[in-house]
Amino acid sequence: MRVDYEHQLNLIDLIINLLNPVISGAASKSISDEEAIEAYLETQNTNYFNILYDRYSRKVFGKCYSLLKSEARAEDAAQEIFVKVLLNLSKFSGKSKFSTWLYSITYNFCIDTIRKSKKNIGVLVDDIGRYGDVVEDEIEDSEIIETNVYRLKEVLNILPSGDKAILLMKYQDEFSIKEICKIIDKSESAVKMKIKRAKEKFLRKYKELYTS
Amino acid sequence: MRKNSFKELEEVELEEISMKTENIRNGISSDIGMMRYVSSVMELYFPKIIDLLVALAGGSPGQGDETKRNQNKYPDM
Repeated sequence: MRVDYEHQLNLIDLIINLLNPVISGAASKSISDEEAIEAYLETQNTNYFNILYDRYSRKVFGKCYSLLKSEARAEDAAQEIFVKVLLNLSKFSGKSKFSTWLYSITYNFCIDTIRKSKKNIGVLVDDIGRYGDVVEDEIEDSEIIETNVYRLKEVLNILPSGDKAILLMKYQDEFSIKEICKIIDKSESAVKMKIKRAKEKFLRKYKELYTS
Repeated sequence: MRKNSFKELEEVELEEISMKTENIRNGISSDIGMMRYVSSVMELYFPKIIDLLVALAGGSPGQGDETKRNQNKYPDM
């Protein structure tokens, strides 16, 4: 009887293993990020983590590449970010979207990496706290976001990484001011000031490059 | 719909880079595998190391457990 029981268990295991790719393939299309996280935490089945990885790895890698400017460094960073995410999945409370949480880890990781390699990365990580009241932002968003894409790339590449990061958060990921506050752990007025300064710097650099 | 060059830039950059998704995935698996291995080794040997340190310090390893066991020997007495 015992042998039969074990035999049946082995068969069930075999069937589950055979069906795993099918399950994960079908599941990846239908289940939400939050459901995948919940399922991963319950079962520790890496297929659920793979669903998240397949959905976001390109974007995470793209952001790392954009900020770190090296394919090899971006690859290492993406790997470390996903390991970090995997180890901290249980801490994800679901208050924000998973993508927001993931990108906040990505930005913070890249900014830390840049900070370790050089000191001058813009206002983002140094004396942002000393700015008090918010000054009105006179630059229209359209002046920035309607720039020709290749010129945009050139100008972003010569901006300090902190300024580039905050512009990417605001215009590429379309994060709200509150979300950016959480990501960089600064007050609302400090974030607004940072965005204003980054936009000013962007336009100054743009004029230097293209209007001479 | 308003044009957003930042979104376009994201697409352009993703097309430019030759992402080695599988390399990264394998890297993650090996990192996690290594962490699990180290933690299981720790789980296995850590109590023994503590016992060794206690013995080196002059105590007798596992004394606490023994005392507890003795206490529970005659629960009704």
